[in-house]
Formats: sequence, structure tokens, C-alpha cells
Amino acid sequence: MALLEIENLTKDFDAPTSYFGSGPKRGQPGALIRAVDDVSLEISAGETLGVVGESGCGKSTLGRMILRLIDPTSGVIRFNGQEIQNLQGRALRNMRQRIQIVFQDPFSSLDPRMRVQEILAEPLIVQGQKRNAAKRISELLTMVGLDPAFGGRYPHEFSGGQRQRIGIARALALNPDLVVLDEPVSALDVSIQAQVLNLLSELQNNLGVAFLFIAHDLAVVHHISDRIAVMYLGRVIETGAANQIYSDPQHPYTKALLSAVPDPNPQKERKRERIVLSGDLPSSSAPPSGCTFRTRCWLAEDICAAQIPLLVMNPNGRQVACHLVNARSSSD
Amino acid sequence: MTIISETPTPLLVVDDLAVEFATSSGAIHAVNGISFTVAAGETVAIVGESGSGKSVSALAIMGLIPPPGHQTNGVVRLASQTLTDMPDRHYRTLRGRNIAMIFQDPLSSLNPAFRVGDQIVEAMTTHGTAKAEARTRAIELMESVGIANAPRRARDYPHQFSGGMRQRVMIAMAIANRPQLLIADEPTTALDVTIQAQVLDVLQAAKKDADAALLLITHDLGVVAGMADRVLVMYAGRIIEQGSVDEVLINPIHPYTRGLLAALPSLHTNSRAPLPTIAGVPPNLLSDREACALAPRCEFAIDVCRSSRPLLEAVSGNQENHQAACFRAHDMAVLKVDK
Repeated sequence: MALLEIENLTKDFDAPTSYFGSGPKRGQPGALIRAVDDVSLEISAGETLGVVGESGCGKSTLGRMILRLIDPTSGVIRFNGQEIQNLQGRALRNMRQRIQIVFQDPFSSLDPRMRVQEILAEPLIVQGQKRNAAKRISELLTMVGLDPAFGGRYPHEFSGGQRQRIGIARALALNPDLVVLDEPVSALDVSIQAQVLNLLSELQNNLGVAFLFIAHDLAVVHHISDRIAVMYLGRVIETGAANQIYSDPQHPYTKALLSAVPDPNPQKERKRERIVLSGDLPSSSAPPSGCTFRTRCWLAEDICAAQIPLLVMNPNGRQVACHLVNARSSSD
Repeated sequence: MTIISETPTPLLVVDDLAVEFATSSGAIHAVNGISFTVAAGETVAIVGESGSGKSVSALAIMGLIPPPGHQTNGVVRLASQTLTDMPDRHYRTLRGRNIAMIFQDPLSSLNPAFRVGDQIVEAMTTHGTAKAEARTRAIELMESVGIANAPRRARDYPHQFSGGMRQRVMIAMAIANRPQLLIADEPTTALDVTIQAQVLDVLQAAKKDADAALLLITHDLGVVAGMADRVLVMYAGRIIEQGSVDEVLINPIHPYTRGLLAALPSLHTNSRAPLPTIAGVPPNLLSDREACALAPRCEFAIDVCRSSRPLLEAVSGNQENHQAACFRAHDMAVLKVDK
């Protein structure tokens, strides 16, 4: 049994209306924005699932729903076999001991008026584990590579990388089984980013914690993930083992996404084969019919506008939501 | 300080530029005596991490250093004119006409209260183009940067454009007066990778079209590899390595440049091995000690690195003006990069 199972998870938000009341009314087309659309995923204990996609693809909303920071519109989230999408009160609090989150911005995610030791003590207090808190805090600081003597300092006394270490220590305070990492290194410079990525790998090896790693940087996700889910406009359009997806992407969007990343080696960069997508991401309040990628896809055919392609395991053993890829592989 | 140049008359000359910011804890030495040139039509990239001084250098060239910062030393020359100490009134006639800048965040650099077309028109009428002519040209410019339905879109406001489209508007505005020099400060950092690819293509074409040189400020070494002819690597307010992109990115000499490249996860291989890192954090720039700024983080540091400052010097055996500021440059040249 997987640690976390998500089935057909969907989240609709009300579209923003203007101050003067214009904009779509409730129940009218365009009144809802479907941020996450029918997503099913699994994470096993101790593994890292990377979720990649561009702004607005729903990857952060997905992460937040798993923690129940946002309530899903429909679908099932099962954690250790227990359905958690409707938990309330004490049961919800107990579940949150097991699932924690690290946010992108190491500046706004730490309370500037709390000392580091207070920040790290808070999860312990909330969960009634105050005894031995001091010992646990110095243990946590050592674990993330900070001097335990820094416990008395405030967040502003630390650099961005160090603050992200504090955020990681806070997420690990309760020994969770799963940590959602929402763009944990995208605010950091390259040399600091590498330090934090190494720390995460090391912590996973030592603690056996599973990660849901959300990021837009494809190289970073490749480095840290066992498996990858690629999202486009709220839907998972391809999923599979990290090495497989990166060496042999199947979905046209995955191909375009990977081909758009410039290579720091100038000689390879000049030879890079690029698929330049035309146009912008369509609005998620009025998505195209059928395959939502068809408006930017250079392979689109009639069927793509007529039917939504499902994410299915095709005969080649790959999970791709594309009519053309799946038709091709079944005729092979 | 000697000026290194491959062309007899460079378009832009920056000579020994220094910028300080006065703070309550003392002066921050953001830029510490940097010299470089940009030839007409050339693309030069400045790379470095946050706080390395790359953006401040660009603002200094534009004469736009925000207070409490000020230029404490050095000279900036564009073509035959000296920009340093030029009266504001005169500088204003150059900005937007001879030098134009593209900023990272197009939402905050466009005026939300005016139509996009009018803002492009204004960029031209300010410098003496007749209004009717400017209007026609604004539409042409918008078409040239790939904005569909340009005549209608010119009447839209910035919030009606996506991030990538806004950056195209900025590029159209920047090349409106056919400047000799374009400065782009992290032009694609706020954009998604597929949109970044589109905007970089547009920038490259616009630069060619306007026959301009490009000074590209970025932290993304992939963008540098694809766009630049030459690259300057900055660390703690100084240029620590420079040369052609091939030389610097394929055969880097300075331990910092090597460290940056090694710390980048690869898109193609996933060995799951720990990434090589540069230990520690960049120095604060309050004190400017006579030492190599990287020494405390450098695994190759020896005594001399901690007691005196290395100068930017030619790397032995180079053909393309490859320079590095490292006492151990010769040893490093022998030590091959394993990448």
C-alpha cells in the first residue's frame, strides 16, 4: 500500500470578481477556475515524487490540498489507508503530525518576532510534545547543519539558505512520514541551492521520510526525484520514473518543456534541438475543450478537441495523457 | 587599470567603476572597481549571485543608482561621450535613445494607468519623433516582437497582458529609438521556461534588428550560454573571471566559476550523488579587506589568498582574452574540470 494515494482530486476556485461587481456570476461559465482537475497520484514511503509544471498548472494547490490547507472540491486523499479529505478537529491535527510542509519563501514563512527555538518548539507544543523540547530543538538544528547555539536568534539574523534550513527543521520536528516541499530552493542562489538539495537527500536517507517536491526548475526536480508527475492546466499529463521521463519524454508538452531548458555548455546549447511552443497558457476559467494542451500542440488532430485524453498506462508501460501517443503505442 | 578590448573602439567603456551604499552600519561596497568594454553589436553577459553587484553595475551605466547609493569612482563612456558626471538634463536625452533598459519585472516597469501603445509612443515622442509617425511605428514594433492583433492590443492596458507578452512590450519599447546599447537585467527570470524561450528569441531578433549591443545581466548560466559572446563573472563586487562564453563556461579557471557550474543539477543525468557545493555564504560587503573575497569558501585557498587581492590576469595559453583573478590560476588551468 502506498503511503499517500490521491484519487480524482479536483479543486475549483471562484473566479475573482471586480470591486464593482462585474465579471461572471455564480453558475455562469467562467465563474469557476478549476485549479486541479481529476488528479490521481501515489507516493510510497521514503520516495520522492517530483511535481513539475509552469505557473498556474495547479501544482501548489495540489500540495496544499494534501495538507488540507485547502479543501478539495471532490476526490479522495488516502494517507496510510485512511481517507483524510473530510477529517476535522483532533483527527485532522493528528494527521498533520504525519504530513508537514516547507514553503518557498524563507522570509515570509518564518515569524520575524519569534526566536528560532520558539519557531521549532511550536509544532511540538501544538502536538503536546513539550517534554524534552529543548533537547529536540538542538537535535533538529544539528540535523539541518546549523549550530544549536543559534536557537536564541531571530530569523532576520540568518541568510536565505539558513532560513530555509530552519523551515526544514520545523517541518521535521514531529518526525513526519511525508513532507510537501513547495519550491523549496527557487528563492536561493545556485551555490546555496546545491547545499539545501544535498541536505534534503541526506535527511531522506537518514529518516526515511517521503517528499512531494514541487518545483518549476526541471533540472532540480530531476536531481531530487525518484518519480515525476508533469502537470498542465490542472491535470497530470505524464508520470513515470524520473530517468525515463527525462531521457524519453512521451507527451508533447513534456518534450517541449524539457527542450526549452537552456544548457550551460555553450557548444551543447548551440546544438540543442528546441521545440518552441507558440502562445500562452490558456485561462483555467475557460479551458479549451478536449485536451487542454491542444491549442499549443503542433501535433493536435480532431480527436484532441473532442475528447479529454485520460492518463492511462499504455502498452509501452508509460502513463501519458495524449490521444496520439497512446494510439501510436497500441498500434506498435 | 588597463582596458581589455578586442576592437579598436568599443561602444561602452566601463573603467574602474565603484559604487557604495551608505548604511547605518557603514558603507557597503557593492561594486569594487570593475572595468570592461562592450563592442558595437556584441552581447556581453554579467553573471553572479544575489549581491554580487551585477544589477548595480547596470544601473550605474544608466546613471540610475538609487539613493543611498552613489558612484565613488570610475568612468563610464558610451561611444565618444563620457556619461559619468553628465548633467541630469543631458543624461535624460540619452536614456531611451542611446541606451535602453529592460527590467526583470515588466508589471512594475510599465505604467498601469496608460495604454500599452501610448507608452511605446511616448518613448519615441520624448526623443522628438512626431506623434503620427510614432503611432505607426509602435504598431510595427509590437508586430515585430510577436504580439498578435497589434493595432487592437495597443489599446490594452498592461494588466491585460500575460507576463511573457508584457516583456515583449518592454522589448518593443526598448528598441523603439534604435539604441546603440540595450541593457537587460534578468529579463526572463520571472517567466516560465517555455515563455522564456520565446522571449529570448524575440530579444535576440530585436537586438539584431536595432543593430544594438546587449549587456545581459543574469544568474542563469544556460541563458548566458545561448545568448552571449562574452561573459563576466562577478563575485562580491568584482569581476573574477571573464572571456568568451566557450572559454569561461567550458574551461573555467576561477574556483568560483567552477563551483557555480558544478553546483548546477543536470537536466540529463541523475546520478543521485550529492552536488558539489561552495561551502559557506558570500561575504558581507561592509569591509573590503586586502584578500581574495572567495578565500574563506575556497578549497584551493593558500596563505597569499588571505593576505592580498588577486588581479584579473590573462590565463596562460589562452587565445581569447580569457582572464581570471586567482593566485592559483596556473594550477587551476592544469586541474581539469571533470564535467
